[in-house]
Amino acid sequence: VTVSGRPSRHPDVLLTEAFEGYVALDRRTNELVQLRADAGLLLSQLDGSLTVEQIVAESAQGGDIATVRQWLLGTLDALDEASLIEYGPT
Amino acid sequence: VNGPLGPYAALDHCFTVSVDSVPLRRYLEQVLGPLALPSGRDPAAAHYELTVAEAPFRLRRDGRVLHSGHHRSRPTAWLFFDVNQQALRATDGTIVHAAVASPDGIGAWLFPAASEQGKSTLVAGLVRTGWTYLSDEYAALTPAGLVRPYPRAIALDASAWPVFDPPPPAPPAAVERFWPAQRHVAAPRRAGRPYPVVAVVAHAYRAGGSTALRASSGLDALRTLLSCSFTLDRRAQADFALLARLAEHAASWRLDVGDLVKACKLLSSNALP
Repeated sequence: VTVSGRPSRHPDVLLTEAFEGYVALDRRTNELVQLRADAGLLLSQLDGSLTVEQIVAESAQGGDIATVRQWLLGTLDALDEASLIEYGPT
Repeated sequence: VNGPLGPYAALDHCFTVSVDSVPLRRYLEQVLGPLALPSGRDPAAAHYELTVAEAPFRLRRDGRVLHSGHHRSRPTAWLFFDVNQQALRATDGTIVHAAVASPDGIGAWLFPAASEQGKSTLVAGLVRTGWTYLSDEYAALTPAGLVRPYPRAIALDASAWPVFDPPPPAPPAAVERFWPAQRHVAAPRRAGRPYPVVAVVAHAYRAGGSTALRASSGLDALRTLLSCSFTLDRRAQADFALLARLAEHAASWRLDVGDLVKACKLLSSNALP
């Protein structure tokens, strides 16, 4: 799991809300990936401006930080495995 | 030979045509008729000039030579090729390589496919059974997901002629030498306004193969639409969002066409109550 760096959607990935969630198109491979609504929403907001810890803090908003971190790391890992994101410098 | 024919509109490409052969002029008037603009509308139009009476045989657009050679049949084929290309360039919005027809005059069925997969043949079969015709080449979509009619005469290659009974009519002998490779069929019922898309049918023609229609998923329809989009490169995000919305809400089918008549019956029986 990548835990450092500033994640952003890969520039070759198109994303839209559809099919009761999100669907992404990887223009490099022309592969379609169906995403759960929460993962799609996260991907739509990743622009490389925040570190993982900053995203955790923003997402938790006073809630359970440990649970949010676990969800975020798991979701980022899945998006990374699908080659939908890239990491900028910390 | 009188003044130019037209103006015509191939989607947003407006044009007029002059030709130095009376029989070809008469035939073009028929074939281009479905694209004629209503009288009184006279937009800035490209002008094509066909020279077929004597060699070199030529096609010019606005004075620029698009084709020149010693084959009498080439300039007319080039005219239709160029009209299609210019329509693609001149028209805003998402354009998918697809035939389009409507079983009920209300909703449009899209038949996206690559070249040589039988789009024109399939749509010609459907209009023979009473479907309303929108296009045999492009599904031009508005931002709201409606498909605009592009009701050019259906162009059938020689390989498709034996599939029809009776076969598509040959042009007059005086014209055939200018245009031997295709026959053109004007659909009796043509759409006059944009239609909402209600179904997407991925299809392929297999000579001697079986004919079957089966339901498929919206993602399958989306894959097909994306692979047949002419505009994905220039309008990536807008195209993707529109085609995903369309695939999500339309019915999705896969059709194997071995027998045209059977395929048209299957489509009609699934489209009409």
